Amino acid sequence: MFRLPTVFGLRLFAVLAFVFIYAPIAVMVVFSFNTSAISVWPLEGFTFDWYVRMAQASDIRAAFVNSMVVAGTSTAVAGVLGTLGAYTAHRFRFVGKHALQRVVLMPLVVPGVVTGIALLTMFDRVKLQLSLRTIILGHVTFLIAVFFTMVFARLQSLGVAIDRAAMDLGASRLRAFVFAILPNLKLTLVGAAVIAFTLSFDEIAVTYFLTGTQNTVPMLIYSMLRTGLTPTVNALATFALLFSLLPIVVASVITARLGRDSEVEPWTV
Amino acid sequence: MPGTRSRTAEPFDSPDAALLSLRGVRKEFGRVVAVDSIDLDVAEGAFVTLLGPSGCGKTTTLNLVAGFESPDVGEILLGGTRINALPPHKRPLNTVFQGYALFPHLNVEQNVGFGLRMQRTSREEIRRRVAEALEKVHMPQMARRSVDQLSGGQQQRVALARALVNRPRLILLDEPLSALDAQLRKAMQVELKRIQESVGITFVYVTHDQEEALVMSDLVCVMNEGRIEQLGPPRELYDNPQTLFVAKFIGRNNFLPAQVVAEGLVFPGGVVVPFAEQPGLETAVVAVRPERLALWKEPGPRRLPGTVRALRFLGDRIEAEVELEGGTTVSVYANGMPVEPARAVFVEIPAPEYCRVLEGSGT
Amino acid sequence: MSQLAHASPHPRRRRPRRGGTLALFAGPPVLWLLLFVIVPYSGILVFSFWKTDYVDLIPAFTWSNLDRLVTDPIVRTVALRSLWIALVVTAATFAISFPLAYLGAFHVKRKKLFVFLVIAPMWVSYIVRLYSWRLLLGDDGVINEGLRAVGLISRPIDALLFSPFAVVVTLTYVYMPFMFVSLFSVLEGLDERTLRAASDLYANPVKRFFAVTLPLTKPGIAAGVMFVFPLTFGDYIAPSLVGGTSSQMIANLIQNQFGVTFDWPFGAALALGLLAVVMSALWVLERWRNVEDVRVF
Repeated sequence: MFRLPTVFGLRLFAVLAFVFIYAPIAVMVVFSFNTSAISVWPLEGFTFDWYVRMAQASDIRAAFVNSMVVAGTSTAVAGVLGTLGAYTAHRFRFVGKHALQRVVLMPLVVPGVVTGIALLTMFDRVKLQLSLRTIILGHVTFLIAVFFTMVFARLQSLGVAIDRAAMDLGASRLRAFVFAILPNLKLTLVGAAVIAFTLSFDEIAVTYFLTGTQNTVPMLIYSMLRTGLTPTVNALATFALLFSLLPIVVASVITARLGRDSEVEPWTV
Repeated sequence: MPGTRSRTAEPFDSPDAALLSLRGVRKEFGRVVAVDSIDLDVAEGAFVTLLGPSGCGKTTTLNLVAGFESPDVGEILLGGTRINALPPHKRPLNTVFQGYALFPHLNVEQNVGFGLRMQRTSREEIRRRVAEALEKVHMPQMARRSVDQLSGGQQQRVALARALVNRPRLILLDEPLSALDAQLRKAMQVELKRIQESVGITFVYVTHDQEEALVMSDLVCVMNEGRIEQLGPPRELYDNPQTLFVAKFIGRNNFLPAQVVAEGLVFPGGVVVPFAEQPGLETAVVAVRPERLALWKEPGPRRLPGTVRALRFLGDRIEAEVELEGGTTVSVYANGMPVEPARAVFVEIPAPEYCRVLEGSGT
Repeated sequence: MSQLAHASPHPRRRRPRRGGTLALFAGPPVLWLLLFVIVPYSGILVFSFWKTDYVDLIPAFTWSNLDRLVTDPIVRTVALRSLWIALVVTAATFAISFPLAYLGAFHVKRKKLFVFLVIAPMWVSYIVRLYSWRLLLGDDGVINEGLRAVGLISRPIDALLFSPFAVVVTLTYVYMPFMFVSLFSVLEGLDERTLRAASDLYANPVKRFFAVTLPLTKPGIAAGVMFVFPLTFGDYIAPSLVGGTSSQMIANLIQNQFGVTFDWPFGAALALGLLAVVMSALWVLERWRNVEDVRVF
C-alpha cells in the first residue's frame, strides 16, 4: 500500500536477477544446437549433430558410465554410514558425541582442494592407485554429511518415543531400528539420496585429485575445456544440465505421491 | 439468524465525546466478509472490549483501527479526524500484540523505548519515561534484561509498557493474556484494569474469553460473523441478552424451547407458565441461568418433569444434568437436595424477570 | 501387589545397555571418519614438515615449507588476491540475494515456486555453470557481440574473460544460491507481528528496515557468508578455467604443487595456510552471530 514504489523496484531487480541466473545456461543450450563449430553469435543453423557426436564419442560414454557408477556407489555407502551415524548421535549418549558431529561436517566446510590433497597424500603413502575406487572413497567422505544432517533432523522430529515404544513391546534396539525407525526414514532417505547422487555426479574439486585413468563427466569436461574448445562440449554440458535436473523431477514426483511428509524437499537442503 | 443489523452504539450522551469512531466499516478478504458494515463509537477513557468467537471479525477490526488493513468501505475517525489514509506508523495509537511481539534483538529498555526513539526523543527523556513506564507495570529493575530471559507474564508487561510509554490516546490490545496460565491471567486482568484506570488511556481490548470481558470492561461489544450483536455494559449483557447468540456466549445459560400461547409459554412437559405477551412470536427460546432454576422432588406450578442424567462435583456445589421431556437438557444446582442419577425430579422455572425470552426455536 | 503405585525419582537418561549395540551402530561411521577424515587431515599437518626430491616424499622435519608460506612474495600476492576476490564475491552474492530474498519472503504468494526458480540452477553441475560463462564473456561471446551490435563498442572488451573479473562473476554466479537460501529462510521466518510492532511504534518503512528487519536477519547473513567465503577463497576451478594467467588463487598454487611442480610438502603447507584463514573467518563469524541458533544439531 504505502510501499508500492519499493516493491516495484524489487520486482524490477528480480527480473534482472533472473536474467543473470538463467542467461548463461540458456545461451549454452542454444549454442549446443548451433551448426557453426565456433560458439559465436549469431547462430548459423540448427542441428543435432553435436549431440550425435557426443553420443558416439567413446570417451564421453565411458565417462558417463563412470559417473553413474561412482555416484551410485557413493550414495549407497554414504547412505548407510550417514544413517547409522545420525542414529548413533541422536539416540546414544557417549563421550565425544559433539566431536563426531563436527568431524562429520568437516569435509563440507573445508574447501574441496584441501580434502582432495589430504586424501591424495594418504593414498599415495599406502600405495593405493588412483582409480574410480579412490574417487568413490572421496565422495563417500563428504556425502556422509548429507545423510547425517537430514536423517538427524528427521529423527529429531520423530522423537525418541517411537523406538522406546518398540523396545517396550519386546524389540531389541537393532530390531527397533529396523522395524520402527527405518520405515519412517523412507522419504528422508529418498530426498537425501537424490541430493547425494547429484552432488557426486557433479563433483569436481575433490575428484580432480583422486582421478586415475578413468574420468567422470565433470572431469572430462574440465580437461576438454583446458585443452581446447570443441563444440561437443556444449552438447555435453547441456546434456549434463538436463541430467542434473532429472533427479529433482523424480524427487518431486515421489514426494508428491507420498504426500504427507512435506518436510523433505530436495531443493531446500 | 443471529442478531439484527449492527446498531450505532453511543455509550455516552454526546457523540462528540467519542475518541474513536467506526462508520460503516466493511472489510472483505476475497469472498469472506470479515467485517460487515459496523458502526462503533468509543469514548475517551473507556475500556471497551470486542468479544466474540474466532472468525467473528474482532481482530480484523483491531487491525483496521491500527492501520495494518484498510477498510473497503467506511471511515475510521480518531479524535474526529479521518485516519483511513494514515499508515500505521503515523497513527497516534499503540498496540499490544498477541504473543507480545517484543524485539528479540533488543533488551527490555530498548524495547520499551523503541517508539520514543522513533519519534526522536532525547536520550535522557527516553530513559526517564522508560523507567516511569516500567514502574507502572511493576518491573522497575528489569531494564537491562534481554527479552528471552523473561517469563510470559513479564513479557506481557514489557509489551504493555512499550505501548504506555508513548502516552497514546488509544491502546489496542489483541488477546494479550491468551498465552498465560489461568492464575496469572486473573491477576493480569486486575492489573490491566488498574493501569487503565490510573492512567486514563482508552483501551480497546479483543478477546474470545467472555469471563475476561465481563471482569475488565466498561463496555462489551459482542461480535459475530463480522457484525455487532450487542453493545453494552457487562451487567446488561449478562442480565439482558438481546439475541440468542449473546445469551449463548455470555455466562452460562440453559435454553428451553417454548411455544407461545395466549396465557403465556408452554414448556417441555406441557407445563404452562404465565408470561407477558410476546408479540410476533410463535416459538421462542427461553434462556435461564442455572443458578435460577430450582430442583424439587414433587411437582408443582412452574415445575417441569425430568430425569437426572449426570452429576458433577464442582467443589462448592453439585451440578445436576436433568433431561426434560422432549430431550432438552438443563443444568441445575442441587443445593442440599440429595440426588442420584436416574432419579425423577422437577425443575422449577423462576419468575419471568429471571428469564430471557428470545427469538428462536429448538436450541 | 503390596502397593498400587510407586513413586520413582526422575527417570535416568537412557544408557546403552550393552556396548555391543552401540558399537554396531557407531562403529562403521566412526571408523570411516577416522580413516578418511581425521587421518588425512592430520596427515597434511605432518606432510607440511616433510621434504621432497621431486620424485619421492621424504619424511623429515623441516620448517622450510611453512617458512616459505610466510616469506615467499608470490604466496603473499596470491593470498591477498584470493582474499580480495573472496570478499568481493561474498559482497556481490549478498547484494544480489538480499533483495531477491526480501521480495520472495514478503511480496510473493507462491514462495516455494519462487525459491525453486531461483536456486534451480544450483542443481546444474558446477563445471557446466562455469563453462556457460565462457560463452558469454569471450571476445566473440554473446556480451561482446551484443555490445558491438548495439554500437557501444568497436572492439571487444577482452578483460571480460580470462581475468579476475571473470573469476568474480562466475563465482558469484555459482555461489549465489547458497546465500539466497540462508537469507530467505531467516527472512521468511520473521514474525510479521514483530515487524508490525515496529510500525505501530512509529517506525516508517525505512527505519523499520534498519532498526528491526536487518538486525533480525543477522543469523542468515552470517550463515550465508560462512558458506560463500570459504568456498570462494579455496576455489581453483574457476581461476583455472576463466581466470587466465593473472588470476591465480591460493588453491591454484596448491593445485600446481600436486601437478607439475611436484612439491607436495609445500602444497600441504599451503593447504594449512588456507585452512587457517578459513577457520579464523568462521570463528569470527560465529562470534558475530552471537550463538543464536548456532547448533546445527
